[in-house]
Amino acid sequence: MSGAFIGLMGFAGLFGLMAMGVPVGLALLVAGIAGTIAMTGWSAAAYTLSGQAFATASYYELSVLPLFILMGNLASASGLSRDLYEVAHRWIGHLRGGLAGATVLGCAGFAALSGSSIASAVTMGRVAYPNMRRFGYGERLSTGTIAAGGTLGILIPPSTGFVLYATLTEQSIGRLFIAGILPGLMLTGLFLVAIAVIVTLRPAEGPATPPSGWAERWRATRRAAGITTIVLLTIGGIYGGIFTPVEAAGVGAGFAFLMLVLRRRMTGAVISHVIRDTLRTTGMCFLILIGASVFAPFIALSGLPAVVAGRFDALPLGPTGTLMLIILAYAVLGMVIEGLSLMVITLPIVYPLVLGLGYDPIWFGVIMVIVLEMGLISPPVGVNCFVVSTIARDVRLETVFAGVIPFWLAMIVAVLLLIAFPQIATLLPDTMFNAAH
Amino acid sequence: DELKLAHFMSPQHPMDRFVMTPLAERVAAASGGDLTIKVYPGGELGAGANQQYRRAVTGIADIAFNLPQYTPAQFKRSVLLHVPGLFTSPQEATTRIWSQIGALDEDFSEVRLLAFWTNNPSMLLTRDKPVRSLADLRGMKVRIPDPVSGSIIEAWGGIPVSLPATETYNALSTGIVDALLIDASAVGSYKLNEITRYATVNIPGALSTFSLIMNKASWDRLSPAQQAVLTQETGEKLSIEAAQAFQRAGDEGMAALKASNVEMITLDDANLGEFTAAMQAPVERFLTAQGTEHGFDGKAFVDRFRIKDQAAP
Amino acid sequence: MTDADMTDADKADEEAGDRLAGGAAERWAARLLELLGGAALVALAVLTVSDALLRSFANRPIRGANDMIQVLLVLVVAAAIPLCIHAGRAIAIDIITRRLPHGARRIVARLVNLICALVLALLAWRCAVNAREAALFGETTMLLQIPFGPFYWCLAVSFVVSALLFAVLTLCPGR
Ligand code: NA
Ligand code: NA
Repeated sequence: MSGAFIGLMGFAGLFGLMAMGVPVGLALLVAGIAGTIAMTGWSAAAYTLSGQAFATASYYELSVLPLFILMGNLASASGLSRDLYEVAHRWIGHLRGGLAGATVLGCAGFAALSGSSIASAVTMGRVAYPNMRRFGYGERLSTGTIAAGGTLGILIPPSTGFVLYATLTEQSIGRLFIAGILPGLMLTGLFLVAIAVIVTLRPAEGPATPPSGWAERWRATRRAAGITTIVLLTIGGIYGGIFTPVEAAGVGAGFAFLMLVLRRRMTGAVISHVIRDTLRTTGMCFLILIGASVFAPFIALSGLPAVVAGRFDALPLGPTGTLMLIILAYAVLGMVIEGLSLMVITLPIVYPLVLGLGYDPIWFGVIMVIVLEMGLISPPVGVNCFVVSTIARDVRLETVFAGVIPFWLAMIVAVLLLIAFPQIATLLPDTMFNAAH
Repeated sequence: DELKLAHFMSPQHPMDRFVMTPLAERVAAASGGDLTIKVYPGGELGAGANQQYRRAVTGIADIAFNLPQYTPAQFKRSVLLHVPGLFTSPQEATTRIWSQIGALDEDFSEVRLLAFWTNNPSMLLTRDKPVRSLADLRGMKVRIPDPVSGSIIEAWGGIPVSLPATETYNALSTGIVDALLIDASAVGSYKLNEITRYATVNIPGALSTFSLIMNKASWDRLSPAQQAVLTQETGEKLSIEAAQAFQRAGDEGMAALKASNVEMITLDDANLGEFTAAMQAPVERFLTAQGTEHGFDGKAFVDRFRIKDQAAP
Repeated sequence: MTDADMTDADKADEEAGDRLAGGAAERWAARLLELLGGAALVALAVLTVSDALLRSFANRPIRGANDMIQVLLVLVVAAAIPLCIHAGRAIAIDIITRRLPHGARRIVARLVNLICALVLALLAWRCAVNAREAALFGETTMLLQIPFGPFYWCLAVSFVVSALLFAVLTLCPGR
């Protein structure tokens, strides 16, 4: 049996286990360990198992994961998500589709405090959904906006997606975070365009609402000063060399905690809820990471990546064509496999291939994250749509999936723009961590 | 027979391209294919840098690439060779170490030592302020590559900062640190030439040691002829080649710095003397403490490796 | 967030945890893990922030902060994994099994729980072996030389608890 064949069997086993309902992290572990035994025998495989688990759990750079999750939870507990939505609502709510626009802007703002798409969708959805329905917004537009807006959580830093990518590819977390800012703003803008198109074609989806008075607008703006301060201090601290992007996670969590105290929302129950949820989400991420740390070396060991790369090289496509094929494959796989798991499973093969084509690893990280965002909202396994349908109990899942289509198209446009103008991703990291010459 | 050689660097790393892979090719050729070595790069057999020693002792890999500094408790003697000022180049260091290799026997009593070499002594890269004298370094935050450098930087009046290597570029460019103490061979990997304005090239910097270690049972399993081939292709000869590979990578790093118009600062004897004098006390304290703790004379151990007529630091 | 702010999704989430947690012992163990993991999490945050601030504003970074962060992270992870499994938050794909007839679905679920219990038990055993060997081979952090052995034990315990959770589900699938 050739190594590449064992590698393929490993993938087959992995997908079989996942289809049965084995949690992704444990499916990676089982397939990885079985494959490693086939490649190197039991004793080496047994060694890999505990060694990799420990190496992952004690990896300094991964300390950002629990800290960013904590920051998001604290921010949500102190009511910052509501403030964000309010300010956008007061200023643009009176426009046609304005509340949907406010939701997208709120999501973008909250994304700067939250590393997870699901958390962003839940948090903003809770605030925005009842409001949009109250003003007569259509089911499709209101749920689609939340599901799609939530995905900004992994593009605008901080982002668990970038942390995983950085860990798996040994790239700088800091550079990836900074690289996500402009594409994140661009995608926010494209979402707003999508909303404008929707309400132009179907005005009933997002009717205009009575404008807010100036006093209300400024009051909401002042209230949002808290969150703006946290974001500016965190980004400013990185830019000003006060702390590293890894440390920014802890600093952000500290600010969010301070906000909780200042707003007199700190109670035992709140703290215990925040800690409990932070631990559970951290466990979710690390289970997958540990599984990946066993599965990825097995795939490298099997030699499968080289075989696949050889096949791709043989195709008469050129770098752009190959890249398009990869993106297409992700769009399809993203339909059935949850985003972060998909990245973890495929990077051992795709990353060397993309580097071989001569693409910039930071830029590809951004592309990768947008493609994962598409997966988060595409049927049948669109995690963000599931989340939204738990908030909007009265709306059918099919309606949510129909509602995200325009936003999915906006993501395609974003990917194409990034391919045409890679500077959108590389400009900021290149100037912020500026060269001395 | 096929031996498994495990390391955790990428297949493109100079150590794979100029040491591991050539070793595998030569052993296969010299034994007429009777003995082969399969290289497992990139941590395919497990990536944890601090797990490599155990990997060799337990026979998970027949041969492992090992950095003594990651398991300092095991390599009590090897890590003493990291103190700054002992050596000026990888080749000099490696030749000198091999002339006294028996002094390291205790560190490698559980395995068979196949090769032992060093990288380049660290130099100092700065962005805002050139370091031409000891006074210039005072108050600077310096990213340190290894534990030994911490107390040296303190003795020079600087502030040691630990950072992952992947964040060095960002850290120097935003001012998290004012200086990087780093081996010239790392300049290319992290594009440090882009963010550096000044390099103090002959500051007495620490270096790191590297070794290839082999499981004892794996060695015993080989036929006398196979053992002879392996002995012939490893040892001092391979070590010197490995040191030369680091030297070349270091030269490339220096060339990249020069190409980026980085000002290359060479300390004159008087200024160099200040650095050497300031670090003497912590170096001696470190050597004495390490030796006393583990029952040997640390200073005497290191003196065996000192080039003759070189003044003690 | 206050109770009033908690959505149904949150409550369902908390209840899912409680549904699994039949016995008082189980609930007690979960609270203990939350307490320990929470303490490690807070220590991680405080250490990260104070190291950054002390370095930037007082020029006195904490010696060996990275070493401490490494081992604190192990503690957080060790507490977090069983808590995640306990709350039913481990990401799994049920798109296919959902469509199976009831009987078949139960059999598959049992098999899945058994596989999970076994692989976690295997992992726990290897971590325990490793814990004993870590001291033997001098595995420590670089600067402070904090021994890894005890932290391997923490992971081993964490995986044992996780395996037990799946074992319980295998034996009493109704819970
Ligand atoms: Na984010
Ligand atoms: Na999907």
